[in-house]
Amino acid sequence: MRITRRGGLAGVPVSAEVETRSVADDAGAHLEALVRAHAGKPPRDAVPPHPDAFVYEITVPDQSQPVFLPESEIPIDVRRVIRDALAKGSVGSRHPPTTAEPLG
Amino acid sequence: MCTRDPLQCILPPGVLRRIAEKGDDTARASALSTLALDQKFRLARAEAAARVGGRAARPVTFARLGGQANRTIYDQSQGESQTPGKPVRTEGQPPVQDAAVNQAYDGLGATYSYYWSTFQRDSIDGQGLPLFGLVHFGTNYDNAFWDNAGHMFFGDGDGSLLTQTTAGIDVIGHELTHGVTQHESNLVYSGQSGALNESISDVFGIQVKQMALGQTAESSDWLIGADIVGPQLAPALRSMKDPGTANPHDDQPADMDGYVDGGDVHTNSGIPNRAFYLVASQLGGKTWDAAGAIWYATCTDPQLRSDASFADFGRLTVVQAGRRFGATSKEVDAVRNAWDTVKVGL
Repeated sequence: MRITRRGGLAGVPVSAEVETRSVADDAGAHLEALVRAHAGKPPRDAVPPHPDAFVYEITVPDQSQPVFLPESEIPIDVRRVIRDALAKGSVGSRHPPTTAEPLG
Repeated sequence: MCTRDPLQCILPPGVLRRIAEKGDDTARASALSTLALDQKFRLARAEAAARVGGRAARPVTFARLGGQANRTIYDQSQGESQTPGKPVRTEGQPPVQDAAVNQAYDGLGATYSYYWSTFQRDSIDGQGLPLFGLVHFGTNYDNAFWDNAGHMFFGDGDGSLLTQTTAGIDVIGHELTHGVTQHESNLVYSGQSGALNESISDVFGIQVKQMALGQTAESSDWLIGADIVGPQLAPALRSMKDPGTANPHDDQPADMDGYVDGGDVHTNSGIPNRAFYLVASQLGGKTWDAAGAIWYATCTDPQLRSDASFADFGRLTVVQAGRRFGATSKEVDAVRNAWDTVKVGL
């Protein structure tokens, strides 16, 4: 899956690919379950709980719409997997999310 | 027999602070707990008001003279719990070994001083809200934020995108100003109102930095985050003077021709940021004497709605400039010219 972290004080998006099955512990499975649970929900539900919060846009190959998750809804073990992946990710432009809903 | 903890009785915050600073361990813990409880009541009132879309109700608290910050810095020890960790420095205590702790303490103090000395605003809520800084949040965490519940969190950065976020005095002013906005217009954090929310934080963040460094509108670099960026985002996060030029990834528009529909709040904030810079640079001198005062009066004007557009905000700045300086003043002209330059039609 592809993960883009948006928002934060810098407001600069960072993207990376995550191969969940290669994650050593259960965190990869937890991430997959989290994405399944939020699939189809409107991005409005992912408005940051506070200014400069991170919001994650997660795109799964077999799903047409990405999932948007505020950081506060992501368990700490899953955050670690995402953080490790994004440490090797790339900085992008602040183009609007694909569903054209503003995110902080 | 009375078994109440005497510190849970009605004691002025100043007395509690002195006990927290100078009491024995038991008294100190109890005083800190009571100060935190007072904070919870304030927040409960603010959150109740926010839920119905209005302004935060002014809490009824002890009469205060104001002018004295009430800071506590906590060490989160790289954890991601949002519960305050170990208290490491409270108001009036001397510097400690950890530079991040001292930077957070000083930055919170500089922001309090800016708001008090300029507008006689007693802390974030105008009622002496204690300032809690939580440093070393997360591992290599590339962010700093105000959590809408009275705490400012500081990450240490990964060294590539961001470095130690406590080093940015403008960043601290930016984040605490999100708290001020929360207690005033409560601007919705998306669309144009969200970009205004971000811009207002940059506007007051840069003034906190200018005041701390003794700078004027002419001598300021008008850069946000210059002291916390790593090599990927150097030399700064944003430029209020030249939006879109702060770093290789900066795509902020400088006027409405570049407005991004559905864009990130950190993108479109470049437009009102530049409007403020233009007013301040045209009027010159200490930014807070005119431009800052006009923006503050606008941000605290009950007419400013939580869903305000750029034009709504701009019209109010003209009204406030007129009230303060006169309808035919150079300040009103500067404000009108600035919004015209960034192509926001009033």
